[in-house]
Formats: sequence, structure tokens, C-alpha cells
Amino acid sequence: MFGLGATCILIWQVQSPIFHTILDTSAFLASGLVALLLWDISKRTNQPLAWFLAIAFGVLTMAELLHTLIALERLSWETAAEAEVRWRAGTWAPSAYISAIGVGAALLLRTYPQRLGAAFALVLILLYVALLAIFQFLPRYLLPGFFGITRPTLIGVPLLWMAATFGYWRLEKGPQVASAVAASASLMALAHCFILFSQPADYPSLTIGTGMVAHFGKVAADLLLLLSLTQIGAADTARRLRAESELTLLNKYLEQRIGERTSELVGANERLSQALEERDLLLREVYHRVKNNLQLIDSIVTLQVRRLADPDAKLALKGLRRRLYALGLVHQQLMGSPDLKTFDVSPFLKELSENIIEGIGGRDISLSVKAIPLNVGLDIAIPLGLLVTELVTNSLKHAFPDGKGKIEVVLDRREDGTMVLVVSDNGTGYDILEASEKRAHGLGTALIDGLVSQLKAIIRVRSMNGTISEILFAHDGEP
Amino acid sequence: MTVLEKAVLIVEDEHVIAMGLSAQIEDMGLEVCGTADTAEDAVAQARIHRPAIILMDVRLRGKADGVDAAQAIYESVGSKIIFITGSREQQTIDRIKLDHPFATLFKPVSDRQLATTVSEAMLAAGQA
Repeated sequence: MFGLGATCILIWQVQSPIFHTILDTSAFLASGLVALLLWDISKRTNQPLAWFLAIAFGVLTMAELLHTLIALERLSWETAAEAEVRWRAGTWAPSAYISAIGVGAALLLRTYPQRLGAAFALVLILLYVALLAIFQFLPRYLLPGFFGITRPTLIGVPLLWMAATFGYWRLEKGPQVASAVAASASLMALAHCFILFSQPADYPSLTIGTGMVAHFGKVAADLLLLLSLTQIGAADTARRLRAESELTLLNKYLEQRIGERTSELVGANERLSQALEERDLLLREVYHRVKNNLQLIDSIVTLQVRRLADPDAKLALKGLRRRLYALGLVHQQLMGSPDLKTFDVSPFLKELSENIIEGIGGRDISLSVKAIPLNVGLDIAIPLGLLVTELVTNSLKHAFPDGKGKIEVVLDRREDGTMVLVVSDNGTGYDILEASEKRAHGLGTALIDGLVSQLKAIIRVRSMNGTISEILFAHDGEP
Repeated sequence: MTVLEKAVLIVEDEHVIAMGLSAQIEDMGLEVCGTADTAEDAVAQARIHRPAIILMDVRLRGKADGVDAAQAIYESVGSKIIFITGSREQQTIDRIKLDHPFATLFKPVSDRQLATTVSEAMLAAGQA
């Protein structure tokens, strides 16, 4: 497009002030739009490069505005041709240099924070004013010299643009903005080569129109950049829309999956709690049956006792009932516990001991039960209950010939964590010989031995102001 | 309400247990006026014998249970009712409480528990 336009301009030698003004205005508007677009991109993507470029183009836009407006008014003593040379040509150079320098500097500044923007703008504006002042003293046009160049003062501009092109080109994997600037900068370099051969209107020459070609090229370069930046923005928008719709889809999918999983979990939970309820029901039923059967056996034993004449046999069966009661009481506690597996052993020991005392002791035996709270399961509760039954019964049977006395049941945890069960009385104590004789024959002592070994316990029996039986067993607190 | 008999009615669907309880009551020197194994039978016998005390199991044969029987007897006869239950479930205990029980004993019931409760009930019924 630039090639075609440039060729047309050169063939028809177009060089009218009106056309010139149109192109200047276009360059001003195009660079202004570029600055705004870059500013928008920098806000959206937070790229310092876009931000510094926006500042460079913003300063350029002001310079272009000055270049456009200055040609429209001239001082009263100047002819139009004089004004053309003095002002139009005089303001071209500063804006051409400032744009190439600004775009190049933005590249160098791209790794710096955006807050340097104000300082950058100020430096560019001061530089522009300085250039404006300098170029007022330099000649605008010279007779064709080296290679026919008429404006040697502008030779730096295409060189700077070439350098910028190279710099932006080298910015591999950089932001998309960089490659857009590279393409535009190469066109700028080309356009500013043409201005080197431009002449004022009153220089008859074959190179008429080169100035316009340069203007046209500059506008084309701005427009090219504008187009690229718009494309970048549009691509961004398209990408964002696509990402948003993907996100929406993903969200829907996730919501659906969460819904499914939730209902699955709710279902599993219901099944689980149903299974648990069934388990509880079944366990309660089993405990109920066990208790009922124990009660049944107890009833049979009760009936049997009434039919016996032999006092020893009656005593033996009463002993059996005490043991049955201990077993039944364990199951009663289990049924009442929340988890149906464990219960606190301390009220159980109290109830058990009281029942034995009142069953055979009479009213002159006092009982004290001091048990720490201890959660136990069947494995511990049954041997412990039976042991207390046997030991308390022993004391009642042997310790108090006159029927008066005191029995103490203590369950405690020692400092090393071992559990200790103590059953003591303040009775007659025992004679070692007699005791070992009894050990050989008594059912009670045989049961005690069996229960002690089942608990993997140690038993110590002492005779000291009565009988003290101490049973040590391990229990980690976990039933 | 007329005066009740100084006797005990035993309601229990396990006949052997009923026999055992009868033996225990008799050992205490009291009269057992009868045993029943359904709620209907219990109500009928309670109306005939008008016992001061009824030992009532919760689980019985048939549809109605001991709680239903106790309700009917409480309204028509007014015997002191001692529940003897194998269950320690809160649900059962709550139902029993609605029925104005004199006491609730949990199986296994020891001789002394039974003896104490029965003599207290007799005292309450004015039959001591």
C-alpha cells in the first residue's frame, strides 16, 4: 500500500500545502490513537513496555500537533513559502527525532517499573524542546550534496529507526506489542529515508514529492501499528471470551460432579447409619437374650435351692447365684452404655459389692467402694466383677466371726499406669497354714487363680489388721 | 377404690423365670395370687385377684406388652406395679415412666432389690 501510494505521489509530483496538512493531521490523529491503544493495553496486561511506548507516542502526538498547527498560522512579515520553510520544515526534525528516540528508549526501559513513566515523559518533553531550539539554528535545506541529499540534519532519524527495528526484532518471545512495533519501525525507517531528499516548493527538481512520500510513509507506519495493536486487543478479547466460556463449562461440570458426589455421600451415609442402627439393635437383642438366659438359670437355681435339704449344697448354689448376678450385671451395664461395647466400671463395682454384702452380710458390715472411673469392655469387666465377688464373699465368710466389720473395695491407677484392685477387711486375718490348706480345696480360691491369670495380673495377699488382697493388672485406658 | 388383696401377681412370659420369682416372693412370706404371660391375661387376672402388687415384665407374648397391661390395670384396679425389664433402652424406660410405675428394676434383679422394693410397695399400698 505504501509502495503504491509513494509511486503515485512521485509520478504526479504531488506537493500541495493542503495535501501536506491532510497528511500531518493524519499523522497526528494516528499517533494519538496509537498512544491511547497502547495505554489501554498497558492497563489491561500490566506491561511496562506498552506503558513506556504509550508515553513515547503521547509526546510524539503533541509534537505532531505542533507541526500541524504551526503551518496554518504564519507571522505577518513572512510569505507562505517562507513560513513553509521556517516552521513546517523546522518542526519536522524535532518530532521525527523525538519519536525515534522515544520508541527506542521505551525498549530499553521495558524492565523498569511503570512508575518511572512520569519522569520518562518529562525527559522526552524537555528533549523535544531542546531539539526544537537547536533545529531553529540549523539550515532546513541545502543544495543537493552527498548522494543528492538535501537535508543532511535528518540523517540520524532513519538510522535511529533502523536501530529500533533491530532492537524490537531481537526481542524474542517478548510481548506481541514488540513485534508490531518492529514492523512499524521498519516502515518508519524507510519513510524517513525519503525526507532526506525533500525540497521546498521553489526548488525545481526531479525529486519533488519525496517530502510527501515521507509524510505518507509515516502515517502508513502509524496506521500499521494501529492495526496490529487493534488485532492484539481483539485477539486478547477473543481469548478471554473463550477462557470465560471454558470456565463456565468447567464450573457447570464441577457443580454437576459435586452434586453427584454429594448425593452419593448422602446415600452412603444413610446406608452406613442404617447399618449402624441395625448393629446396635442386634447387639441390644443379644445382650437382652444373654440376660434373659442368665435370669432363667438363676430362676432354676432358686427353685433348686428350695428343694435341697443339705445346707452345704444350698450354700454352694447361693454362691453360684452370686456369680450369675455378676455376669448379669455386666450385661446390664453394657446395654445401657452409648456404644454398647464399654461402660464405666466404678458404679458397677459399687452395685455388685453392695448386693453381695446385703445378700449374706447382714446389717453390721459396712462397705466402702472407691473406684476411679474406668471404661472397660467385656474382657476386663467379667473377670474383674467375678474377682470382686469372690474376694468380698471370702471376707464375709471368714473375716467376721461376730458379724461386725468393715470391707473396702478400691480400684485405682498407680503412677506407672498399672491398675490396682484392692479388697481389704478389718477382720481376723488368716493363718498361713490354714490358708494354704484352703487354697487346695476351695472353689473360690481356684476361681481367683483362674481369673488372675486371665487378666495377666499379679495377686498379693497379706494379713495385716485383717486381710488385704491386691491385684495388679495392666490396662492402657483403651477398652 | 376398694381395698386390694395382700398378694402379688407375676406377669412374665418366661414360665421358669415366673416360677423363680414366685419362689422368691413366697420366701419373703407373701402370697402369689397368679402368673400371666400375656397382657390380656394379666389384666383379666388383676381384675379377678385385685393384688396389691404386680411384678410386670415389659416383653410379653402377643401384641400388647407389659406397658399396655400396666396402663389398663392402673386405670381399673390400681395395683402397685413394679416393672422388671431386661432392657435398659431409654425408649423403653420413657414408655414405662408414662405408666405410673411404683418402681423399675432391671434384670438381673437381686434378692435384696426385689425384697426391698416389694416391701416398700406393700407399705405404700397400705398392706404392710
